[in-house]
Amino acid sequence: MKFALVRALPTFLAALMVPCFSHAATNSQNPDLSVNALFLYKNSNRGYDPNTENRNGLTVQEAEMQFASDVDPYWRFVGTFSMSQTADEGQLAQTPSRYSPKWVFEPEEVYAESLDFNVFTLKVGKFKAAMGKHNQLHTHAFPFIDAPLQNTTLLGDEGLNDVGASLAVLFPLPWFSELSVQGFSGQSADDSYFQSADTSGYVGLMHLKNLWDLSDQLTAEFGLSAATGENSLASSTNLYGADLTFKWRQSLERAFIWATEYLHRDLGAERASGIASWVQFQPSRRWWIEARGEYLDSGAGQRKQSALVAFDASEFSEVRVQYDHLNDSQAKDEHRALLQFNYTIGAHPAHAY
Amino acid sequence: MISLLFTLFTAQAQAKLNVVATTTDIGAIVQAVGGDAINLSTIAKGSQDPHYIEAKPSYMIKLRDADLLVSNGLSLEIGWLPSLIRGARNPKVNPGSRGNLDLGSFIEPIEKPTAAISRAMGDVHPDGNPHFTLDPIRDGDLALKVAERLGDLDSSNKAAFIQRANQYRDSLTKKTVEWQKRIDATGIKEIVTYHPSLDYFVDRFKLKVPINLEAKPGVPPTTQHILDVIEQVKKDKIRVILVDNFFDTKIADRVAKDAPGVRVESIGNAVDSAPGLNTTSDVIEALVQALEKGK
Repeated sequence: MKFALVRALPTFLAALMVPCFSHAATNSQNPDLSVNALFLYKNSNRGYDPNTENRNGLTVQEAEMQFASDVDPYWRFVGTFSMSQTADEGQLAQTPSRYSPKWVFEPEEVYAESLDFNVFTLKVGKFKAAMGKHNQLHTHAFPFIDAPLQNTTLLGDEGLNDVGASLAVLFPLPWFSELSVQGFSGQSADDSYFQSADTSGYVGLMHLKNLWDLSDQLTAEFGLSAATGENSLASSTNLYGADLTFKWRQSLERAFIWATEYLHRDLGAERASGIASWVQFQPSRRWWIEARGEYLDSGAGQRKQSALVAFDASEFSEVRVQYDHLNDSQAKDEHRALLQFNYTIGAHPAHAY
Repeated sequence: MISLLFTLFTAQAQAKLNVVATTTDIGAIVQAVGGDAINLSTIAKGSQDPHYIEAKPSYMIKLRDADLLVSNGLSLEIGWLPSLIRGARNPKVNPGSRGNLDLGSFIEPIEKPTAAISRAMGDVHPDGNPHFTLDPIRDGDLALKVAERLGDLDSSNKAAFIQRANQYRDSLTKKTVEWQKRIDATGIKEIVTYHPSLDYFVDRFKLKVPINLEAKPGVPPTTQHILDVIEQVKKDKIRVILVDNFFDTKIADRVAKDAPGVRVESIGNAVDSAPGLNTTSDVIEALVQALEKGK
């Protein structure tokens, strides 16, 4: 579904935004519109190849536009479109010595969800699958600048994100317990591990999320996920995931989060799994200090350690610095420094817990 | 098992109305009107800044079981309430339903921006200042709105709801006259506050806030702004700085160090924000006492 951004698009979007912004937070019937941009500077001891999009330097990591509104008393519609830079493979083939990025504009999520369906939420469209917790996050909400190795390696660069339908039920229990049953086409370009030769193939997924208040300040969240579908080898791909998050918040100025996520992918002949665990500490209102350890077993073992410091000037802007050390059995380990600027304008962002 | 639980929930709902209030202040009005005919729970605690509540899924459980959601409105809960309502999957409390009462929609707010606003001004509320529960007169009027809606949902108790709302309003009206006399007796005309959270109290009791400790709403003060506050305090001979108790008094103390005539009072600005603040009257009484202290 990727297509190159035409020149007229920015002008069109700008024209669209003007009337929306002036009413964004009032009782208008225009959709809530927000724009988020992530600018990323990278310096890695491996990022010396000018012909790849992974080269060192400053890039637009992603620019995202979100439109959201209730459609009527029964449905809510959310459309999120992202722009990012990628290598122009056609150009590279002609002049391999010169890297020239191509802009890619694509729908990240476009879906409608029910508002009045009793204990159920029905969702239909293209959306991020409930395969674990991290897979459901947008890039600007990642706890670190990059996604865990297991997510990019086992679920693809864009994660498991496909056209399908989802039915989630909130159980009548004293704690939050939600079961989501989702079905996808299995034809998304990125989740090639599900692409079957037979176009009638589909992907089935179940996700159970539980959250308990251990005290006023502390919560524990535990999730289990499983997905299955045909792959191009005419056999089944199975995915399994588990996530556990403890979140402690004493005040607006002090919080601590410990999250661990496990993913396993079984392609029949090939199996791989990974685990990532991270801590996030908020020592004062505007600062976060974070550390992450990861292990990925997909043939050769990969170990990665990351450290991050973030400064949030407000709810709408953030600057983050991250250091990564990757040991992936190559001759030299990778050492990488990242600097990210994160900006949001428009409608007040919804804060997912 | 599941059907049994459903039955239990339904049976409970029929016995007493389950009401969820977004803040303790809103909860205090609802409790005063609902009495023992309702089961009330609140989301934000009195000690928390209601702008920044996390949308914890456990709050969705409260809303899932609610017959009525009473909110402050005027964008106060915009960062967290919409996702709680969606997550609760309870059509009864969806916006526009009878089980969703937005009290802010019934009042005439102060500080409603008349010109275009921008986020460069800080966290300005586009619909006006939402902290209206510190005005006892508006609280009294809102009690009647709560009574009407509770009466719609539980007609057997309608007369009792209206009677309690009238009593609540009359009591606050009488007390307001007394509070005004006591504030007048202190001779205080101007105060400094941290955030525009006390502006309805200030407006009702004919006080003025020439400057806030925050440079802009929601934006921590800069060194230059603190110097401006010190100058203003000295110039106007301001005697009191009131700091909501979920903010640190460090900055106010810094001002008091350079402007010795001013004292700093850490105050609870909401019901349950400090021990003994169980009703709106208690909160306002404590604010009046904070002004009287240096008399």
